[in-house]
Amino acid sequence: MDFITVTVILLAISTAGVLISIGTMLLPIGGAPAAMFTSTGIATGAEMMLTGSGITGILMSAALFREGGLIVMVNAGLSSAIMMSTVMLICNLLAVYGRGIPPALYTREKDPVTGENVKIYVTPGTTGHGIPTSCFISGVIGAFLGGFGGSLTFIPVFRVLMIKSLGLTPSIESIFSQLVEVSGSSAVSSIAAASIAVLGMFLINANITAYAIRGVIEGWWDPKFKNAPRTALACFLASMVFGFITLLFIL
Amino acid sequence: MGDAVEPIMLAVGVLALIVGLVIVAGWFEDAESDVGSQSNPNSQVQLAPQVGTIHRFFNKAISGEPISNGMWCMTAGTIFVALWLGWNIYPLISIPLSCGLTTLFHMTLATTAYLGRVASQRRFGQPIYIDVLLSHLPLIGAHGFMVTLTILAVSYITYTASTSTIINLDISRYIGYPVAIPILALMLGIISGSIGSSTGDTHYGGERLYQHTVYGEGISTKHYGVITVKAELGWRNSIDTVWFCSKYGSMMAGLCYGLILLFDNFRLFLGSIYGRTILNVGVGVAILLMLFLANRWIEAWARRRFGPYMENTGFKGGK
Amino acid sequence: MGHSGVVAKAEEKISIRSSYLAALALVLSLSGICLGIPSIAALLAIPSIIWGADAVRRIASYGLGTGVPSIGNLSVSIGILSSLVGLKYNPILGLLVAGAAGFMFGIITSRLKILKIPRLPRLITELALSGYLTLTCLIVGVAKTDLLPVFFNSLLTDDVVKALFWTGFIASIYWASTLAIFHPFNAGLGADERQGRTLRIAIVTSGMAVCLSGIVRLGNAGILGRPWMVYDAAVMIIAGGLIWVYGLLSLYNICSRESALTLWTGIPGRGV
Repeated sequence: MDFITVTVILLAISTAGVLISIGTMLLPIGGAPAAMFTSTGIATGAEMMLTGSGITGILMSAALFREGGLIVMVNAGLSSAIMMSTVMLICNLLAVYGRGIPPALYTREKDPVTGENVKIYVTPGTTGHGIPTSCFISGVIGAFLGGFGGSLTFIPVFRVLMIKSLGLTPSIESIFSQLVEVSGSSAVSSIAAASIAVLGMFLINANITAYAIRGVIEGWWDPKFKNAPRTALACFLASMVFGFITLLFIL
Repeated sequence: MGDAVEPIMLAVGVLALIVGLVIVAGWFEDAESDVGSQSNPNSQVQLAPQVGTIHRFFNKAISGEPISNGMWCMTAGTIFVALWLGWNIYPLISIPLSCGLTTLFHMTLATTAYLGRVASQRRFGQPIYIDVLLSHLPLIGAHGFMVTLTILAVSYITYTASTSTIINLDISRYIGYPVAIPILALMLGIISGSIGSSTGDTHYGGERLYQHTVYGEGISTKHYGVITVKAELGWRNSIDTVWFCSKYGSMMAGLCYGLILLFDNFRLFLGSIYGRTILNVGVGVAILLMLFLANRWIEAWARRRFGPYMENTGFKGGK
Repeated sequence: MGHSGVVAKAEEKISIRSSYLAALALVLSLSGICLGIPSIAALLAIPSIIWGADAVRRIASYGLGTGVPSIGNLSVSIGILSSLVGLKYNPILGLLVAGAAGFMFGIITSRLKILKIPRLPRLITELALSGYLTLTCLIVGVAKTDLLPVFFNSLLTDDVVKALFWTGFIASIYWASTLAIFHPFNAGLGADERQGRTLRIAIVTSGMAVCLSGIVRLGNAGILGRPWMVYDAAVMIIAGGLIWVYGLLSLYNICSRESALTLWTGIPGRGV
């Protein structure tokens, strides 16, 4: 394996870390208070939601393991985005019909996307409830970035292991292009090793970002989003360390 | 039989089976987290003795739902692969056997969580009720059994569809994930946990746990910790909770999981039939647009119908 | 749940000193890996799990803001990749990689002010090392087919690749270790948390992890076609099961003694 391929893989894994981190900060997370309709967003932790939606993207990447490069990553991002939007829709259904509450934001007077006045719908004593339209859009973009980043880690690791098991030498074209007809049963070991690496990537980056968020975030307009550059730098460096260890294993 | 049925028809049948199984998995997963009071609303059950409300709920604080559901499904998948690939025990016998052995792991972790958490609340005076422990554990195990059974069946079907043949037909182009079964069960369990945690838990925490507060508003922080401890007859425990929540909250969680797998596999289907992966992207964007419009309609309808928040309505509610 | 901000830790009574646990775990687990007998290696993963649970206890009592499982997931993710590196080259190299990676993660997280916890690099290094030792001990227990000692050679033969990756068992060891390390503190969390009770829960979860590894080895014996692996598997399942049951009984005894009240049934606020 030549030096350029190694550098490209290392850069890919580090960029994936940055994408996952920004994706986590864009998700509308309500944490434990949202389960009691005390804050806007989805009622679970940030790292859990990103890992759940990212893994849906990885399943799609594994199913499309013969295709090449960019199209698989876009498909994985779309899978994560569809999962996230279904979850957000059902959350709203539960808020409206289960408890009789309309969705409302708290950090802004007017909704950033539709421009409606939302302050009048907020219950006093709470910081919003449900998932308004701008949180929905923020969540879709965040999940897309998370799925894209996960697939960006999955494809190089899987392809290097697969190509080595076929006896050839990996190069940049063979990593990001379509694969010759390989049956599913010969790809199982490589997909397994790549899945473990991707799980590690999701858990590390999403957890570092969750420490920076500290519980509740609404979207790109939230004051906590100002921490995004610092967190993205931390995830870049952490993913570089992680990518280095992964390269030690797969080479 | 293999000549008369085309691979596409068989793949459609497998898709329908997978979606049905996964709806049941999501339903029971959220019901299991309600009967043990796990994850986000558990913070209220944990807070209640600190503000003076002694309760008879089961305080199962294992971790977030994705991680613990991943654990049960992964354990079931591991024991299944050990029995099936290792000792050639027929899947119809080894699937229920592995799910049954997993309930031992499940009930152990639930027991340690309840005993540990309540013992650490000594200064607030919350007792350990042995009858709560012993009456809830079989229910927790049974719900976990249903979750692992369905998720393991889905993993087995999709793994076999992508790596070998089903009824002598090769449908690996249309459906299936070529991921090894323990890892696939782990992933499906994590997805199931994150869905059940984000959707079904709001029905439990927002409605059932604070049933004495006024319907139609969020729960403000002044109510925190003062949960509903009296039931329809006697004192409330988590079995009453799952009786209520499995009718709406858990059902929506199951529906959510079924919809997600339906959309994903439908996209894969269309792309494979016509051989162009770009079709997946187009169908995906169309589905996203449809979901966005549905969300916008629900939001506008609720705001128009319910109106802004009105103070001093005069409703007090009971306790 | 954890609260945000740094909280000054009050004087607490602990049953075993943390440095004693660390030294014991390092020595025992490393010798278990190098000795190469699978059942003994798997049983010597237990000191590492207890060390990891104690490290989680020390780091999470400062208040993480997002819950205990997050720090467990982070460190064991570092551990699993280092464990795979150690499998491919050399177990001692894997140990150094795990320690170095954990230290760098700690430096990155504390310098960029993501988490404000005193002595964070040292704590994350301890967690990463305990995760690495647990995983490697259990991998040796699960996938090793012979009884030769291991010093500076790699363990990654074709059989091991098939036993761990083609079957997918690597995920079982990974997830069971993650839960075994962070569950004890999460289950014992509260105002009156005590180290002795938390470490007893760690005994229960480590017994579960060893029992599960025994079942995995039983499956590998059939898949690889080497029936003599069954003897080690039987030892692991029985020993793991006994430790599991002993841990549960002793946990029940101590919790029923140390809780406010232990009743068969009753109405809250009115005693028996």
